[in-house]
Amino acid sequence: MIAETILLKARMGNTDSHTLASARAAGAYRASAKTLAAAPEEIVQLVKDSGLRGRGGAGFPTGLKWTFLPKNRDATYLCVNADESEPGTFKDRLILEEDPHLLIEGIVIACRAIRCAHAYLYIRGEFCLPHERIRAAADEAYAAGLLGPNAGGPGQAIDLTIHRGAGAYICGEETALLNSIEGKKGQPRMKPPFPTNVGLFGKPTVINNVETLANLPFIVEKGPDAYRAIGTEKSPGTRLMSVSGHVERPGVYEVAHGVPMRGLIEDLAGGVRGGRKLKALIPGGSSTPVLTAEEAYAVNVDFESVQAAGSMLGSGGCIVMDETTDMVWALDKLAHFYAHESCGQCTPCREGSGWIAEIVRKIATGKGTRADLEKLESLAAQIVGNTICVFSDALAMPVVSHVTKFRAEFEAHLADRASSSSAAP
Amino acid sequence: MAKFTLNGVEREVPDGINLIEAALLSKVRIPHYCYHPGLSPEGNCRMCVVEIEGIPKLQTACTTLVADGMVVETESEKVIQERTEVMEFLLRNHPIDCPICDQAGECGLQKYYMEHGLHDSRVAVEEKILKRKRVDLGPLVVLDSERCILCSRCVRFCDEVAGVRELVLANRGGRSEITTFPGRTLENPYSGNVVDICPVGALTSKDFRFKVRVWFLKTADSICPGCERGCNIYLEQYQNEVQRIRPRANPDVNRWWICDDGRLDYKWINRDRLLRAEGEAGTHPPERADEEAARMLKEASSVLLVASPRSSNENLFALKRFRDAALPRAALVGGSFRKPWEEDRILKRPDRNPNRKGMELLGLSGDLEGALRTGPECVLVVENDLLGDRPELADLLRGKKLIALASNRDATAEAAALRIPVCTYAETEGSWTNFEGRTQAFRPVLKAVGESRPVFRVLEGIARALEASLAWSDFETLRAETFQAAPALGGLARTSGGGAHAL
Repeated sequence: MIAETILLKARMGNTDSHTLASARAAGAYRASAKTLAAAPEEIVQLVKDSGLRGRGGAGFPTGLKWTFLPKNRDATYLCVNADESEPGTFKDRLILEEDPHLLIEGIVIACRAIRCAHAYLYIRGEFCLPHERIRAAADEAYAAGLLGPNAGGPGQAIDLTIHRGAGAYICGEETALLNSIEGKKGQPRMKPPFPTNVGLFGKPTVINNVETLANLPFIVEKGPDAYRAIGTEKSPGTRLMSVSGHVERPGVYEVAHGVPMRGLIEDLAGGVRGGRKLKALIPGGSSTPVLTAEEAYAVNVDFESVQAAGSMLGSGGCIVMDETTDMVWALDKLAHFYAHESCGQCTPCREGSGWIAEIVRKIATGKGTRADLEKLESLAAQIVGNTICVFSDALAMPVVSHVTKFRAEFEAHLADRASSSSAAP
Repeated sequence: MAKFTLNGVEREVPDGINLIEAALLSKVRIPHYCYHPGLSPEGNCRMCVVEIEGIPKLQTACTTLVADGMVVETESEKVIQERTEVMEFLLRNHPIDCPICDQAGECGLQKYYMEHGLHDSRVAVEEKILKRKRVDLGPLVVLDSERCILCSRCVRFCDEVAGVRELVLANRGGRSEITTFPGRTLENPYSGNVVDICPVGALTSKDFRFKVRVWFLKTADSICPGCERGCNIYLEQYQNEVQRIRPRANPDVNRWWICDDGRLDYKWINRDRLLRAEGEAGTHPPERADEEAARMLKEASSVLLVASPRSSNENLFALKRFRDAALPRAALVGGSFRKPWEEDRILKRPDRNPNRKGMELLGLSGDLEGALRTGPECVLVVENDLLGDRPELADLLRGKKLIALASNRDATAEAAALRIPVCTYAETEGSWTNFEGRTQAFRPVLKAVGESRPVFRVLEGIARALEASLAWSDFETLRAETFQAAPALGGLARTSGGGAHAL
């Protein structure tokens, strides 16, 4: 039996956990107060020592990212990525709704560390309650002087602007997010230059995920060693895993990195619904390669273990599919999502995403042929790695993994399937 | 300078240029659609990918600056395969309606499909996404959205060159479309350029489309006569009529652009031309016309010759020599009252005469009105529509014997006692000197219309009838003499560029 390791969820669960009074009573803003006496470099070092890795999907070391900022700079921006849109992922939403002050405290600490006087929080347009909560929390923090002209110490401002998106998945891509804040069309930018050099309004900018920043108060208050004591060597700390799909108790579970995936599914999420068997599991949000039941039960919840199994822990969006799932149908849902969300900038992604979705639909509805299946695989290979951002990879990975790992199911859907397998209903 | 290796050969190119430009300097062409040297690079079409040693992924040449020691492959198997795949994607939703498309013959899709196409299509026609056809974007431009490859050149042109936000890429993914902003039209004074830079048949010119297949066009390097900027252009003709004008790149003058007024400033070449010499007694064959002019000039007690800032340097010089050789007592002044227009910050200059500077440098300015007031009996007007440009001059011209050397039936020609047809700039060699003192040559694209002759040949003929010695064996001799006599013209300017932007 595994249990949750509570680090970020500590104050959640009460009906007023989102208020400043409640959060403060439970220790909020103690860590950020501590940083007021610390030099920015010390905070950066602390975070580097903690081994904190980004929770948005790529798992990039947070402290290291901060050090990419140029030494001499006249302004720095922090952008908080709260555009949580990856299908299967809903853990930032929990923080925003239940403990927004944990995030604001993390923002204050990060601003102190990178000498940022103005942070932007980009929140997904469909997040109504989370937006209401974070805005109310920001108002409270301003009123209490935790944000505002002297929030970073006398005369040192830390301002927070909350920017609502308009419902585009791509705006969660960090450079599209910058364009969107600037009032431009939400399309990814060419890299280099990287945002740490040329970011928001052309200034050096750090973009961090909500959950990443929510880890900072603990690291500052308890120290890097206490943080490293949780989780694995390469994936310190805990992880908010969003478990959805065919489980008895879907929800957000906080586990120490390194716990078995089986434990997360069976002990915490109550197991596959109705006592059925697991068929497949997407471990880190819709764009990560799907795992078979066998693979899923063999991995642990940490970056390195899932990677070794050929997938990614990504944003921790764990989608569970039981034995009744039609994997062609499942891919159809994903493919149509990506075709709908491609920004349309780069040729391979714009044309490829729609084409792939069409072929999957054709196969799913029994009209596909062997040639279509081959085309599907070759198109997935064609769109990988030749676009400005990684969106096309995010579509290709599920396509390739679904078709490769569940090939028999795809073949059974074909109109020109071999007659021996025509017994399929 | 940067030393880099291109397809196995070491090259040296200036620093700070991208790989497309660096390769071009080495005569290696990297296929591309969205990149244009006059616009910021976007890297969206993915056609220009190249292999760079040490970087696992293919890189877009348009957004990669050349660097010392870089090893670049533009024709490797991986690159060719990627291009082929991009071509397949670009044509996935393209209507392939080349037989009715005006771009056919100069289309980037056709061009690269022949080099990198799959030839066995994997696309079913009924699966293509249907989009808007015949979208009226503005006075000059029509959009066919299905043909569009969404390279965004036109959007960037409006934003970056014309300086107006008129076009936008709306919607997402496969439903992306070029459109005007709500309530706006594509009507900036440079809008026609989007047709030139559109690499496919999505944006077509209302003025040119359906007129003629581009492969029937004959093209000559020319100069825009519209103002004193002297934008470099291509004049293109079919059946001895000019069909369209396109900009010719010259980084020192007009970069890759021309204004819409210049683009449409050709219709007069095909219209209302003076085909034969006409006098009060009817039409004359050329030789008779010259004799008639000579008689009028000889009989007059005083003669005024009027030069034009629209004439070529060579014709202006010929007129000077004509005066010296045949009519040494005649007065010679230059002038035009073609009303100035509003200049802009892009190309348009206020003075609408292409050779004001050349006329001045040849010493042909002067007080035209004053000269007319002295009451010359006979006035020879060369390539100058005095009455059309300034109708109030009619009073000063009244009662004077008027001879017009004119290409068109303009007001001055109509009022003249003798009108002799001359060639337009589209039919002759010549040069104009722009406001910066840059002397630029134009080449003929048409055969002389009717019985029109170059101005200097008409002047030769009149001189002959006046028994004066004035003859040039060919145009080049005249040009050499002109530049020798007027070193201030500086000879023909060398340009650091030239040509259109080839894909």
